[in-house]
Amino acid sequence: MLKMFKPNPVILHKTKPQVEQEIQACIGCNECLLACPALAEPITIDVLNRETVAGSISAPVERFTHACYQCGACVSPCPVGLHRDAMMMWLKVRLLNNPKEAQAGN
Amino acid sequence: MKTTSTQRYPWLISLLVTLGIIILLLASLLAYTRVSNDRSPDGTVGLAYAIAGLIFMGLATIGYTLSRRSHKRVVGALNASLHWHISFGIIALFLIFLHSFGNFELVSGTYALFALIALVISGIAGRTLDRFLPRLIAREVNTALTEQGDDRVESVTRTLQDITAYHKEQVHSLKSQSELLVAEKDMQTAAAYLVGQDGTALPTSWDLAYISLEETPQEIERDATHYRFVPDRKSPLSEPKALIPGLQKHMEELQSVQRALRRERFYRAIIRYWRVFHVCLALLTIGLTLWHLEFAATILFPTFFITKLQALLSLHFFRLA
Amino acid sequence: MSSRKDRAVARVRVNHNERYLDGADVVIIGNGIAGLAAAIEARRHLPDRPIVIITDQLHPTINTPALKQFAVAKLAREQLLAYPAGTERAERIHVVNAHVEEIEAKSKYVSISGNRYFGYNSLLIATGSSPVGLPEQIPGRSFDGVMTLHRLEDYLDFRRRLPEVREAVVIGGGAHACETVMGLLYWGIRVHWLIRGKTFMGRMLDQVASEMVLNSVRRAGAIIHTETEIKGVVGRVGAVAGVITNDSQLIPCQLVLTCTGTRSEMTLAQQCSIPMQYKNGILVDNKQRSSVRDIYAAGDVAALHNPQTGAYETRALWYAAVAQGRIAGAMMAGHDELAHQPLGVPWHATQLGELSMLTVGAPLDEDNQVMILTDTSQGGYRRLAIVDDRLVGYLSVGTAQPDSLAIKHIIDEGLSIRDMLNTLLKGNFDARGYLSQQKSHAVKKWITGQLSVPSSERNTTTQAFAVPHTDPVVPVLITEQADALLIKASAKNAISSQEEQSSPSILTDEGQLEQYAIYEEEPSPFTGTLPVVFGHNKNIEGCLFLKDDEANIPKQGEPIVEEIGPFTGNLPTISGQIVESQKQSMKSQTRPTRKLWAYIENRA
Repeated sequence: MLKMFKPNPVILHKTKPQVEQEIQACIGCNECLLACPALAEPITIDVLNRETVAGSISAPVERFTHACYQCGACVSPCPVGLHRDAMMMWLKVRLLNNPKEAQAGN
Repeated sequence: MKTTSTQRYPWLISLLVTLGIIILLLASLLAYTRVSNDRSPDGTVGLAYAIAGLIFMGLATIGYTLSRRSHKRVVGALNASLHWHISFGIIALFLIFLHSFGNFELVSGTYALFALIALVISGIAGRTLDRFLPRLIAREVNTALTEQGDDRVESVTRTLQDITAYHKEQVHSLKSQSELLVAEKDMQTAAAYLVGQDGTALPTSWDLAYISLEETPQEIERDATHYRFVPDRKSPLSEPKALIPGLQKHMEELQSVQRALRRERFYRAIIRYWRVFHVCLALLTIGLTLWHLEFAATILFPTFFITKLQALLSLHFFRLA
Repeated sequence: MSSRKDRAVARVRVNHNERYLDGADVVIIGNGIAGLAAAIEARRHLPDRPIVIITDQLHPTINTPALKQFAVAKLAREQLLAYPAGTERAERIHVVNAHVEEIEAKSKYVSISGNRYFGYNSLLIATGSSPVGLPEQIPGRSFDGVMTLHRLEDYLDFRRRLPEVREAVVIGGGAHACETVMGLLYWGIRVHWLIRGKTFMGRMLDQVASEMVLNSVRRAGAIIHTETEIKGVVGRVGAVAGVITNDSQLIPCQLVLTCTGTRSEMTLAQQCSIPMQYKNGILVDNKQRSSVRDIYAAGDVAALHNPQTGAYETRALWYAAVAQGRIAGAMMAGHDELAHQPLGVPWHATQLGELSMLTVGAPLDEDNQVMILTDTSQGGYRRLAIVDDRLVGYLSVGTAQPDSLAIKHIIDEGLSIRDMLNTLLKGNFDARGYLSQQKSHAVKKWITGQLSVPSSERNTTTQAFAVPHTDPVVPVLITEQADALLIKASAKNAISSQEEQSSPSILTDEGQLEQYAIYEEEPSPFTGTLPVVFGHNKNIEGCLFLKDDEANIPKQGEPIVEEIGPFTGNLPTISGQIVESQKQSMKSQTRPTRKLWAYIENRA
């Protein structure tokens, strides 16, 4: 019951090297995506990880990035203590800077 | 892979259902007002609205809470359940509103209704905040990071360190080699003339003989505005460290990063605590509703046996309460 | 560029004359995550050279830690893939399905099953580890139903057996055992957990933390037997019926899962024609080089130097394997400047029952210099090991996981934790906000003159965010350079009598291994840190030495292997890069001069 009143801790964004490090440490267990209230369609974690770091951003990942509202629900289920919200924030920043990196919606 | 509209707009189904139910309810209200003149909340239809509203309230609360807690999940299930949570909340509010029939005499009921309105509004406002606060955060993050995604504080610090270290070195060596200064100064004037203020080459001859090594007042004037970054009113020229070129600019950048980080923290705190606020409102609403139910039950008991339908309804009602 | 191609053609012909059937520039043994990460990293640097992975594993690279999610059916088999399906083909990495039997390090080829041979220029051993299992003397260890959970096949087997299992015994006192117990409980199986010691994970957790974890697992429904060992396995018509413990208790069960740890897969190190250094794993330096030239090791099989204890130990963890694979990939592609990312202190984070566990560095260090701070608020437990005001170890068990990589960063950097002690203890430490604030305070201070400019610290501060660092970089560079210059004279002999040099490498001392590693890179013009050294000292003679070397190498009447080295082709480009970087550093120095001088002149 008290858990409902305990907000997820506020942790600031991470820099790109840190995000890359976290993605390297990601074991692909999918727990963060299962806990995510913003994710509406099945995205596999390997695709998400790959597109977070570099390259073009596919339409589902772009939609997910826009839908992510940084609630931090993904952080506590991670077995290795990574911050999916920080990785999503990096994707948001990437989309903010060059919206063209996203593929045209298919 | 073709993207379906439900993938693109995952809230579409729940929105359509909500609208459908609301239209149905409006139609039922219209039909009812044609048939009967009984507009009391404790009439048959009023009670029916109340019970339906209560069911939807329960669905909205319990459904989402359970799916958040559950350990067996599917990707996207939580999102769908969030949309149903919103949908049920709005339908519940609408039903309870119908239940009131514009009748706000009963204090407990009115308070419960107000709490419910506040709850639904806080939920919708929270979703709106969730929509646009992350964008603001992304903008702040963008100022706090360099284009390559590195920490801007770090890069500014490095530049400043380079500048100060270099400056210090130069001042040091200058003092010892004051006689060299004159010659070097002349060369530098020449270089400044050749390269121009913003570093682009001017289309002049590169023969140094074309330039007078004596600097003209215009030259001093022009260079002065260019190199004096620090306003001299506050920092006297005798203070060497205050005269580092670009210092002010970098310090401002540093401060802007700090401000961005503070704002980001603030926005994130809003997102986090808004949920707590919403849960608090939900508990308040539950409390007030229970109070209202208990109150309504004491009113309803005398009329318990009036009609069979009412009896049945209030039995359910009692159980729920 | 063209010379490179010519050489590639030449190599094929030479190989044909030799008995090689085939060969590739980069050959990787094992397609675990370290192997594939290395292949992809190498492909990034060598877009058009053949890269081959030889593996006897049937399936593509998978997220091995996610197998425990697979065990509880949270993940489908397809979701286990570490890289999207078809990555190997897209990256033009050839996967050869075969078993490597021997390494012929002198002539640089490996012999693979079916009496075939495969040549290499640089070889990576990423064979991973295998489970230890039950000791030989335990009777009944080969009954059906006695198994280990290590590979995908094991988990598939496990999933198939589940319907028939009502009771299971898990043996072992590590994180893997705990995860296995939780997985079995998820399926509603009655679980007996046998732990040899008094506590759980005695080497990583202290008494309090171990109790917390054990209690949480007990609450979840497991029956825990501490200080209990298995004496034998009882079977019935070939299948497991129960186990007998050292206190003569019979525990009936249909499944016995042994989680008693893993052992590096080192048969190849033993089967190498030049003796390779190995102990609990193949000994490698910071750049994943083994003691044999052009052979690297990464992943579970590699034993790395732990900067805190000074010992060589394996790191059987996902993150370490990815990072090592990438370093090895860059090294094999001849980009050792990219391998400047030491792994730092070990860290381990996992979910133990309902609790998250994190241990970084050495939190259990009982040295008298070490100050231990503990905190048990918020339903968790945190233990900090501090020397002076620097963190050396961090242990956390609780519902929430602290920022593990940030804490590792603090330990790796040796940052002072005086101001963050409280948040670290409470486990809600925000590295990003804290460090940037601290940095800007420092800047303000030294600008206003309260603090002197940290010119000597510049190296550490510049790396603070970008690259985690533990080893003192500069001293190493200097010694390497000195060595390189010393050995320079003997470089010619070095290449021709390569075998002689490698044979005295049967070393036991770790220091000697280091030396050997330094020596080993000498004949290659890409030597570890040369570009950096030049940039550092602006030593123009160094450049000459490099060119000298370039001229020298082809002159040697050398084994063909040397000729076809992937390094020789790139030479001109690299020396060009060095000149470029020198230019840049010169430029960046002259530009401010103008401004400063100009300014001073204005003042005058």
